[in-house]
Parts: sequence; structure tokens; C-alpha cells
Amino acid sequence: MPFFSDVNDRAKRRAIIMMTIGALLTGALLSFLLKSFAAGNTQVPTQAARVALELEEETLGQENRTLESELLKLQSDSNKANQAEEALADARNKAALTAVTGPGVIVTLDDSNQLPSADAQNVNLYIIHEEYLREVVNALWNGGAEAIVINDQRVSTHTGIVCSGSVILINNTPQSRPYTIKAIGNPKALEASLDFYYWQYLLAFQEQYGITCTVKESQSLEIPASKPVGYRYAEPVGEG
Amino acid sequence: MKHKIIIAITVVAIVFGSLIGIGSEMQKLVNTENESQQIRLADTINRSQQRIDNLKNRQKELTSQLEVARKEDIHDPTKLVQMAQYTVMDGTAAVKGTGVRITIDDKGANVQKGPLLDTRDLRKIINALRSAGAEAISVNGQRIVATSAVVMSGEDRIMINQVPISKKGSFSYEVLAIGHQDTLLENLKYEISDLQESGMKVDVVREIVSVPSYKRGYQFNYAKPSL
Repeated sequence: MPFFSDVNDRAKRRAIIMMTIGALLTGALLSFLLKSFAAGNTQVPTQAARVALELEEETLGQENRTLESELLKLQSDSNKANQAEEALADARNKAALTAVTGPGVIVTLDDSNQLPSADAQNVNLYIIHEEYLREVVNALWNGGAEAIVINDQRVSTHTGIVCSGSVILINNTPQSRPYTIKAIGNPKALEASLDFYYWQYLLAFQEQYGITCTVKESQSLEIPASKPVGYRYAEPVGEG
Repeated sequence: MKHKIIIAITVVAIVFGSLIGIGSEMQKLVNTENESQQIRLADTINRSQQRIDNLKNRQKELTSQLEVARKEDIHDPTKLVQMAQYTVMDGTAAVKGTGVRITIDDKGANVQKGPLLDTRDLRKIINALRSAGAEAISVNGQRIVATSAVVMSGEDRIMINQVPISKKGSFSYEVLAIGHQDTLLENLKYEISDLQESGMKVDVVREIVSVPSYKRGYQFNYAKPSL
């Protein structure tokens, strides 16, 4: 210890004692501080956890009420033979495998008639893209649509809407303009559901570039069934 | 030399003193703010967790009773096969099979301001999976069926099947899909690199996944089967 080499013994001892006490207290304080920090930190995720739990509770509650009412409906039917046929028809309908009819809205989207030359920079603004169809369909489902068809393609659980060159593939089937989307549901609610930013943006394109973007109510729409799917990977299992 | 010792001791004393200051300040904070609140919060959380456990048990009961009730009176094997096919398509059956698990972590974003991943991104991922022939898809536990709209509610909640899918107070997403793994991965490539470029952490793994059933129910108040 060269630092203390020429100090007398007494001072040396005293200094060492002082330093030791200091170091000990510092250590003790540091550990106390760390604990306080740890305690302080748990509060943030705890509040977040409370919110998350509330959401989960709400979700589970809603889901259980729906399941309960379906179960009650199934159990209340006393004619067994009828019930089997009914259950099957009901499931087929939910799977979009039944043609349906009812009131709703018809949305028409079409490319502009004043199309500039194909190599013009802004030619994209004059044509209907697959995303427009997806956004409109999403909005209609949100508005409580019960069945949707685009041209002759019923929108089911498995329906993809993608672009492939100059055509839009729906259910892997090429579709071309004009695109007619029919949705069955409460006509007023469906129309209201289209009042969102994306629709406004399409209306602006209609104004500026001449694309077609219209919605009209209809009291009687016919929507075809979708095609059954053979499953190769998914196996039904019990929940949980 | 003696003053060197004094300097050393003084430094220790200053550090020591300031630590006491910070320490007692921290303790005050911890004591006054946390203690009673923390106890109440812990209590609220415990009770909420208990109710959730009960609801989950009830849900298991209901789904298994429903599974039985739906098939109960169908004895024809052809019809049973049809029933199984329909309930995979309408999503009311939970399914298991080979597929992919995609996890997206949004943590770089300001959680207060709402999620970085938006509903449009989720719709694109779902669309890519559908066109890759996915047989079943779920996002944060919500089965994706035809009618599953993906929308915002307020500024910070993404809703699917009309229920919020935010998880544990942070914005992280788990998308499960059953189908031909190579095709699923191929179709996801573009969407994933897009998300990664905007700073999100995205992981995709091949897995045998269990996709939960659709629990929102179907309502047909306007659509009637054509005659």
C-alpha cells in the first residue's frame, strides 16, 4: 500500500477503519437502493397487466355468452332426426357453402375510361387495385355483412384477393373489371360502414381520375355458394 | 499525507451522504405511492385472474359440450365427415396440423401512441396466408373466418371478431397458420421483409400448430338460404 507507506501506524489504522465502515455502509445502501428500484419498477407492468386482464375477461365473457346461446338452441330441439339435418344445414350455411338471398348493398368499382397510355407514370391511379377490394370487403364485414360475393366469387374463410399481372385473382380465379361486390345485411348499416377514410380516398380518385366507385341499396340480392374445400393438413381436435 | 486521508474520507462521506439522500427519497416514494396502491392493485389482479380462470374453465366445458351437441344425432358416417369439413371451414372446430408460427414484436414503437403494426399489415398477412391455401389461421387467439374484420377501435386497440387482440399490455402478435409450409413461407416473404424494414422484429418458424376455434358465433338476420 504505497499510499499509506510513510504515515504513522495510528493514522493508518484509523483511515483503514473509516474506509471499511464507509465501504460497508455504501454497499448496504446500494443494495437497499436496488431493492427500491425493483419495487418501483413492478408498478408499471402491473398496471398494464391489469388492463390486459380486463380485456381478456371482457373477451372471454362475450365468447362464452355466444357459445351458451348456441348450445341452448341445439339442446332445445326435441326432434332428433330433424335436428341432425338442421345442424348439418346450419353448419353448411356458416361455412358459406349455401347460396343465400336477402337485402343489402351493391358496390361497383371500375377502371377509368380515360386511361392514359400504359407507360404513363400515374397510370396506377386510373385502375382498380386488389387492395381496394380487400378494404371494401373488410369494411362491409365490419358493418355486419352476412354474405359477400365479388363478381361470381363468394368470399369465404379461405378467399384470398391478390394481384396477378393485369387481373385480380379471387379464390385463385382470374377476375376482371368491372368489380361488383354484393353484400347481404342491413343496407343502412352496410352503407354506413363504407363511410371511412379509404372510401373517401376512392371517391377522390373518382373525381380526379374517373374511376367508378358507387354504392347502392338493394332489397333482393342473390349470392352463390362457395366451393367445398378438402383439408389435407388441418385435423379437428378438442379445444384447450 | 494526512490531508490525503482526509480527502479520501471526505469523498466517501459525500458519496455516503448523497446515497442516504437518494435512498430516503426513494423510500418515501415507495412507501407513500406504492404500498397501498400496490396492495389494492395486486388484489384487483388476483380477483381478475380468478374470474378469468373460471371463464376459461367454463369455455372449455361449453366448447366440448357443443362439439358433442353438433354431432350428437348424426349417425351417417358420410354426414359426419361433411360436418367435420364444414366446422373447419366456418372455424367453429379447433384444429391442429403442420404450419407456421409468426411472431411480430412491435416494441420499438411508442405503446402510448398505439401499435406500429397497423390493421392493414395484419390484413395483408392474412390475405397472403389465405392465398397460400392456409386451412386455418388465427391472430392472437382469434380464429380468422370469412367475416373476421380487422379494425381499429379508438387509437390503440386492434379488434378482430369484435374483440380486442392486444396482449398483456404490449403490442405483440402471434399469427398461426396450418397448411403447406413451403407455400405459406413463400407467400409471406414479401410481407415479412416489409415489416422488418420498418423496424419490427419478426420470427417465422415451421411448427405443428393448434389453431383455436371461432367463438364469436354467426348471425343470419338478413341472409336466407336460396330455395
